[in-house]
Amino acid sequence: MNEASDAELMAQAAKGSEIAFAELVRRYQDVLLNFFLRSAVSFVDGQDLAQRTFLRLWRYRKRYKAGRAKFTTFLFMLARQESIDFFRVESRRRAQEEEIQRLAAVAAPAQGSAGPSGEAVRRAMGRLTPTLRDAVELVVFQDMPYAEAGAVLGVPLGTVKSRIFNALKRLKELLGHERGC
Amino acid sequence: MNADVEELVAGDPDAGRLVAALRRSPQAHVAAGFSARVMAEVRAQRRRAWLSAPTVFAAAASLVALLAVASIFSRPMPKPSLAAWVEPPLTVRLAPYDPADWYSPLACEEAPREAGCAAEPFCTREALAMLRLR
Repeated sequence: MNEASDAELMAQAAKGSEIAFAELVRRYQDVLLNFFLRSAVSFVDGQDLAQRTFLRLWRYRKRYKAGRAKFTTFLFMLARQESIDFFRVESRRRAQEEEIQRLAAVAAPAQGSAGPSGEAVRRAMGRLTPTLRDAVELVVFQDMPYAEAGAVLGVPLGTVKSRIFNALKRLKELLGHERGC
Repeated sequence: MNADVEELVAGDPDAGRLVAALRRSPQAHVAAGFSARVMAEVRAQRRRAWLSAPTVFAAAASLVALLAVASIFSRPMPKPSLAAWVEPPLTVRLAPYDPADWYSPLACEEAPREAGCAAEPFCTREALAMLRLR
């Protein structure tokens, strides 16, 4: 089972195989959790969103066509929809959370030269606009080519490229500021 | 690292360091039992799907169709007999003539009247005949 590709597992899941689907869940549970955590949600919300994404994936499993897109493209499209729904409902609460995180960032101790901590990266990502954050998430963290990220985000390749450029510039400022540079 | 990102960081060492640092940043892990919870929810979703309105409607429609077909086949069939195919002979039955039939008194009215009259001491044969003719 472990050797099967994602597309093969999805094909089996589409026929109703729970074993194949469980394998996909195990493969992508941490990936999805970190995807949501970098959107500045709490750990509990991140897990909840990851679970909802998997349930959405199960519901739409028959719609996935392996020849048309990579599995990860399909998965992150669903994750992004889940994220949009979540933030639409939770927009007010999120504003409060961002304010708390901003205050915590000011009070956070300076990091060493080993690189930013996971928490610092999540905080910095949380302060990006959603469009920039999604682009960085897909291209930098999920290592998607621009074209694939564009397919997930529904924007042209050039737009992804410029968003990445702007996002990295902003992240450099935010993380540099956190390190006290 | 895909070709697009390689191209991005090739000309900008700062961007390269940042991307590397971002990718090295510690990743969070789901709590124990996460996948078991997801699969339990998947199974629950499957069960709910079986009880969804379209499924229930389809099941009810199938049941009605099944009952309709069953009722057709369970109807009692007429037994074949020669008599059913042969016309009865034409006969005329003549009732014996009785003048009392003209008056067609109802038996249930006539009998009590006659019995009542016969019980009387003054009941005569004529009176009984009159009763019959009435």
